[in-house]
Amino acid sequence: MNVIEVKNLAKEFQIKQKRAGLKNGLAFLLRPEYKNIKAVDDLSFSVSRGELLAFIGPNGAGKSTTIKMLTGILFPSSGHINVLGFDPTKERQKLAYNIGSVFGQKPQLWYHLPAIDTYNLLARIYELDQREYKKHLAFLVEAFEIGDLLNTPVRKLSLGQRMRCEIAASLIHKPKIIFLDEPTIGLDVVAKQHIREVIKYLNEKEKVTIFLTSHDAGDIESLAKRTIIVNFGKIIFDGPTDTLKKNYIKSKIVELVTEDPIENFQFSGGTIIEKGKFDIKVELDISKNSIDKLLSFAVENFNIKDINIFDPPLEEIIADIYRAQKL
Amino acid sequence: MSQLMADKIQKDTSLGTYLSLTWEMVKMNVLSAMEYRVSFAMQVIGMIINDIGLVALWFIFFEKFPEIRGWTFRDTAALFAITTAQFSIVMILANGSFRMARMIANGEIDNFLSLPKNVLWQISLSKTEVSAFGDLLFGLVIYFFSGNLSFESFGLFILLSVITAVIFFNFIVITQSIAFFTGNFEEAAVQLFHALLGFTLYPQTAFFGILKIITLTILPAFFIAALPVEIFRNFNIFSLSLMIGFAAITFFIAIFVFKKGLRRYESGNLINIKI
Amino acid sequence: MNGVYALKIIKYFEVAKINYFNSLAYVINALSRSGVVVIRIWIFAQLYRITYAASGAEEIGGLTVAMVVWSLMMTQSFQSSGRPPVSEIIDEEVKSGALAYSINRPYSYILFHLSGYLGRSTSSLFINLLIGSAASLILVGPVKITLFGILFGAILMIFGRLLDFLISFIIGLAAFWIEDTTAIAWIYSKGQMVFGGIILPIALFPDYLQKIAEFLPFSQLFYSAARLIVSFDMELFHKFILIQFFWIAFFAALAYFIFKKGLKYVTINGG
Repeated sequence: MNVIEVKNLAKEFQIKQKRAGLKNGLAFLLRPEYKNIKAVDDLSFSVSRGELLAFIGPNGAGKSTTIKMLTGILFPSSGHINVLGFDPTKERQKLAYNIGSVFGQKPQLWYHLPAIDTYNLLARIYELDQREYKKHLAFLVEAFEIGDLLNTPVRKLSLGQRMRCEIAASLIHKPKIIFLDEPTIGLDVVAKQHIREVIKYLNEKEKVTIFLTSHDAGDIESLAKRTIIVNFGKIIFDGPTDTLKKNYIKSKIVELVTEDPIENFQFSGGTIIEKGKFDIKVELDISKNSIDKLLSFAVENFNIKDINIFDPPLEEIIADIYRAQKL
Repeated sequence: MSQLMADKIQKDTSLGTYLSLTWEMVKMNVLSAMEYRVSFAMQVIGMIINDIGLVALWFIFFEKFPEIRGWTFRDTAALFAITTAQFSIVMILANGSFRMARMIANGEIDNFLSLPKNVLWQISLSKTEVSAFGDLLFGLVIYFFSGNLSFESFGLFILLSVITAVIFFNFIVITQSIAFFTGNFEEAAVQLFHALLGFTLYPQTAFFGILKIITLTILPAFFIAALPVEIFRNFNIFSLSLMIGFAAITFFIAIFVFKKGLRRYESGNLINIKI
Repeated sequence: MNGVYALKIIKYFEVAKINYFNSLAYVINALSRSGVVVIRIWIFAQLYRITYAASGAEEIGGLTVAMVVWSLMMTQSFQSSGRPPVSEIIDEEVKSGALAYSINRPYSYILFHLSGYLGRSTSSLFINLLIGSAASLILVGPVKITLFGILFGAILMIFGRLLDFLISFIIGLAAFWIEDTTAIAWIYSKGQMVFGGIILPIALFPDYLQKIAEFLPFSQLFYSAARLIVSFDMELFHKFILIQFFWIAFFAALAYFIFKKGLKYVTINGG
């Protein structure tokens, strides 16, 4: 069952062209020039219930624009959107009862008050049955481990704690879909891990459909089974996250630890990323040379203590895809 | 749970729900401000001193010139009572509306679009001006210098304050909503507000000619200052109906302009849109 | 020796110049604010015409209606060109700790801010006066302004601004001890409104209050200059300049004292 259906979605903006200087400024006032920008260009995809998908792309790719259209904040120029059976353009408030969102830059929690106050207010805004709300809140508090944070003013919480409370806030009304925008930004490794676990739990146990935007490859790798990449308003990849890695890997990273100090390391197709006295990390362009040739070379020339072979970070893979698009 | 939600979706939110929610929002705003106890107290006191200063000025004026075309110090007291009362009502219940032009320019309206409640209502209640409680207190006190001190007069005073508050609110919504169409109107909206406020502080009998026309139209000081004081002095059902009629008309204009502006915002063609 | 002083003066002049051109860029803002001024002058013209008609006099307190309007226009121009108030700037610097950093600069902190204040306010002052004079001319016609009036009035104006600066500066310094100085700034601006002759000229005060008001610092900020320009009187000038000097000395000493205290506070508490 599809919870989101998008067909030929498009969004054009007309931006006034401003140019520097007083003379141009005057001309601009009298006869403004408009530039047409296609932020979203013929997008089509669907999402079924319970999916956890990553929706990524470089800045200006049309991600936020698409999400705004899905949530009813922005009107499309053309195309069809159906979210949970609603047309977001026409039934925004009705849809709002069933979706939740967390936007890093636009917090829901009232800054000077404890989170519990915002939760109680939200319960009333969403007109929830008080008993059901209390039960569900208890569940969220346990899942997010925010029990002792509830009564502290939000401004006194750390970023990680605040994020957990924000995501909990977006779930007060048991939405069927939540849109998470950069949920782990600025968090340390432990906090990131914590948030990811909660998100996973929500998706797996509660069957909440999750629409995730993140620049953090770790988020994408650990959470999203499916990834959609947008650039220049178009979808350039839509498939399992694993495929993304497999099909787009152009290099491998080889880490070597040696007995003797490494002076020189020259291998055709290999770029040194890191070098210490007894260890070295080389990125090998696999179109130029092969892994086993590199390994043979290494074994022949050095006393190898340890070898590790990695895939390049996902962000590199994605960055490569973005770059390829530009050409 | 979802069954209960489904019911919600069929019906629109009731007025009763909005009223109780309004109460909750004001409470939260006040609690939020109370976090800074000293600042809270200073703002309230500061506003009271501010208002006392205004009254002192006109007291001195009327000491030298006891009557201006029939207008005396008592009329100024009544004027101040009504204007501070209406001002504080708007500042307590709808202070967020003052920020609307800025929110529009910064794309902050998005937050309000994500929640299932009326957007204008949310914007208005997003903030409460704490010093307005000082104004309210002052308004009630200065009322006692106005000369009319019966129960009916007090009731009339409350009624007039509420109606003028609605007109004031409409004015703010209209001027701030212009930002939907021009992208940047914050400073201008503030200036218009101060201009309107400016008109309401003077003996209203001083206005004639073009200035009077201005107070009847674009800066409706006539309806929020001169007319209510007149009604307060000499109750007249016709004048009262005129005021209520003006409040209703400007209300519909305000809602219309806001809705139109919001649609424009949602089509995303503002100059400062962030993709 | 002369060279050192010359350098010092040039330095402050440069600071004033930068602030002048900076605020010129906000011409549009100034213009819209001037719109508010024009409306206010218009209101004054009507208000005082009716007020004078009610008393049946052509001249009250030595002023005709036209002189009242012109003096109010000038007082208001002087007052509004002093924005943003120095108290806000100082408050900000104290709170952010920038003050501590500025102390290490080789110029006097207070002179730096004074030059900034004078530079900023000069451009908006000219615009306000220009527009205000045009409006006053149209609404009430001209008044007899003499060269002496302008000269001596300008002296009072400059010292008046110095006084405004000092008081505002002291209010800003209160940020060392008080969380929110805007309440005090409010009180100061209310003092200006009641006793500063910006809505009701002091000359029109009831007699018993007039003497008190003239002696208070508020009337010496902007009103005394405007009053003198509109109707020059050497004796009046002497009276006003003495009162100004008194208050300037008082507030300068107070500023110095509080500043020193504040610095001690900073070094003890680390800002």
